Amino acid sequence: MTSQLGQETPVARATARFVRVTPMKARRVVDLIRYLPTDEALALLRFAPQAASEPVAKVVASAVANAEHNLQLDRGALVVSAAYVDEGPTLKRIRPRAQGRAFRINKRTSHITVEVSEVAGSAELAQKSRKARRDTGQSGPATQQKSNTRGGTR
Amino acid sequence: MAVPKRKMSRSNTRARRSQWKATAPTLAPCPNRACGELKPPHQACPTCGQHDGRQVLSV
Repeated sequence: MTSQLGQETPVARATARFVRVTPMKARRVVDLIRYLPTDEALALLRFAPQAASEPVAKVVASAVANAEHNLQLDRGALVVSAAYVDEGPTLKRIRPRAQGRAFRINKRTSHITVEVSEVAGSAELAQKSRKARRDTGQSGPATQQKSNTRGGTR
Repeated sequence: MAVPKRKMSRSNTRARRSQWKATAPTLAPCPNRACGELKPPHQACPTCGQHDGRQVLSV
């Protein structure tokens, strides 16, 4: 998968596999943090009410650590360049019902992948976007509103 | 008992799910100069434990 933020920029990746969250619920959270600076993404995930934000936050933190340790990237300049959730194996459980029937319960699992890459001057960009948001009184991350119009990563 | 007459199309299912989105929580930088972490407004900062210039949580 090529990063939409640049072809030759080094990309650090982290994956959490077999996470006991349904992919639908995990995607709802992952869609919030795509293209956000990683420090903002981690702050957002810390205070988001969705239960899936905790495992997603761990993946983002892991990807940031990979970028710092393996690729010697600057933590402040990292953005979430790609984030997606794949479906893992489903655990099947039985719910007994009336008349001797049995209904299936699907306990789905997710593979959550986050890619982070360094964007030149993203610290200034993030500052600018925060300032722009304050000035216009707009809620929500400005970076997301701009870049998400380019469509998903998958 | 009332029962759906038609199978719901993929299109309708997806159209319904497209509106099921999470909203990003509002966050503001902690006014404590030494902290500055993003936190929800009108709440004690869980990082430094200060609110309105006072220490209200032990951290």
